[in-house]
Amino acid sequence: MKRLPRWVLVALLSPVCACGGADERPARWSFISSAIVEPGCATVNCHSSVSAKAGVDLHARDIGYYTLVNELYVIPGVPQDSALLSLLNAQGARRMPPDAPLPQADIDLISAWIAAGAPND
Amino acid sequence: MNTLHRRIVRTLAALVVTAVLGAASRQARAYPQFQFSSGTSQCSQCHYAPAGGGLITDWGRSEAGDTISRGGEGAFLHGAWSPPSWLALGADVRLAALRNDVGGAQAPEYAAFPMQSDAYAHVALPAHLSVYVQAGVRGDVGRDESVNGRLSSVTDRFISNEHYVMWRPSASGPYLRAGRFFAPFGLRFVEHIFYVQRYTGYDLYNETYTVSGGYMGGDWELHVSLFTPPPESFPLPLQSVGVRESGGAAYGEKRFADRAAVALQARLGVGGEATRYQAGAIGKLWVDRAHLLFLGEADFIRLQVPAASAGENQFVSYLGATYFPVRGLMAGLAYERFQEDLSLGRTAHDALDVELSLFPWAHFELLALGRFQFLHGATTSDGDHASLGMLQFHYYL
Repeated sequence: MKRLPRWVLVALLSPVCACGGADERPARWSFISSAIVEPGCATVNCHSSVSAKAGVDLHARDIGYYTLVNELYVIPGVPQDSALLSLLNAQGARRMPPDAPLPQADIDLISAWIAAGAPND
Repeated sequence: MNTLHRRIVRTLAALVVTAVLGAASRQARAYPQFQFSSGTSQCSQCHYAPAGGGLITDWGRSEAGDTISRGGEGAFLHGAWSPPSWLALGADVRLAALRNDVGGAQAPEYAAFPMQSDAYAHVALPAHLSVYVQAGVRGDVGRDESVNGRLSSVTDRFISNEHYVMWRPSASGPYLRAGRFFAPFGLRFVEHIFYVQRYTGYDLYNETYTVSGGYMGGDWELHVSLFTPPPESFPLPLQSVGVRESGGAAYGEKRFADRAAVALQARLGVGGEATRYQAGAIGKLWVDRAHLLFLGEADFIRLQVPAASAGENQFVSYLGATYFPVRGLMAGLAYERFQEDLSLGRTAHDALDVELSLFPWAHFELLALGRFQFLHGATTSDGDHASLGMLQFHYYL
């Protein structure tokens, strides 16, 4: 009998359990932008192309990258001085995103990307 | 924290209030809670759109007065004037007050504001054709210079996120629709905050230009759609926000004994940087004796990001129960989960929602909403949860 793929089993159990494996997602901006930032931050009156709250437009990979780096929300190589992480962690400011905060694993992935020099890769 | 760092954080903190207010805007969607519970088994009995949502029909207006609210005349203008048979009109106005607490400095925040207001027109044409237009003004989130002067006036906030032409010879049978609207997929609640909308391409103002066709049977319906986002060159009132994807979607629903339904759905969305493959199911069950309606949706998503040579399997779900103790009152409790990566439990978003809706008279609704989100793995001293409380007044013409 053919076995079910592992991800199907994990998916079926997902609502009732939390799998604690190592985070093997790539700490690369192309992935972070598509998987975390665009769906989480580029919402209607926040950092979409229409509103670009605080001048921050995160609706696409390149414009999001240059906004964060050029406006110094991200200091490449120095996550502890990057305002982006303070906002995500609610340090000195109200937490962002204010309607759907990110799980710590996502914040850790963004931190790892910044620590690696925050390339637009 | 250096000076520049502090300045940026302070500036953004001041902007968060309006961000939350904007996120709490709402638009013309639907009340899937009324399917079966009101004695109506098809969404399109109460709405002009084949899959539901938006302007309600004469039948829907009658139901709003006779079944859903405590009483009153549900017709346009409370029955004071009836438009000609080829024309249907409507409007929505909503006001809200909220308390939002996501932790950090300056939390919680309090605010009161008008939400999006909409006007609707449905014009019947010869040859079974019709035109539908919805236009409105985005919610006023107050003075906000941070949006570069955009959206700072009523004209800037004008928007039309639904407008289409439809061929539909009868209530049952085939139909075709083309224009701007969401491809039928998933549970489309009035409140847009639920994960099954936010993370499946159905967030606020994310409507696409869509060609959709389908068939409405007595106890089943099928909708197949192709869609693409508005070009970025389009004027502001026609722009969409959120994930920009082109692709296709299919939704098929089978109903049983006018009190239960099962739906299967699939969607492919191709964006500039990523592709999403989605498949899922929806279940609806009305328990008449208990006055309880159960609604559930579960979708699996494969997100592929070629530039990163990576992808992840995601899961998003909604499970809710709505209780109708007396006519005009609706109480709901729901659990939601969005897991960004199925192999990592720490990427889960979980939420509990409590809703209480009172329809004291036709055309009026009072809503109280509570939302509690768990922040998995939060390491700050500001707690491991976020909460939202909202009171809302809704009037429709």
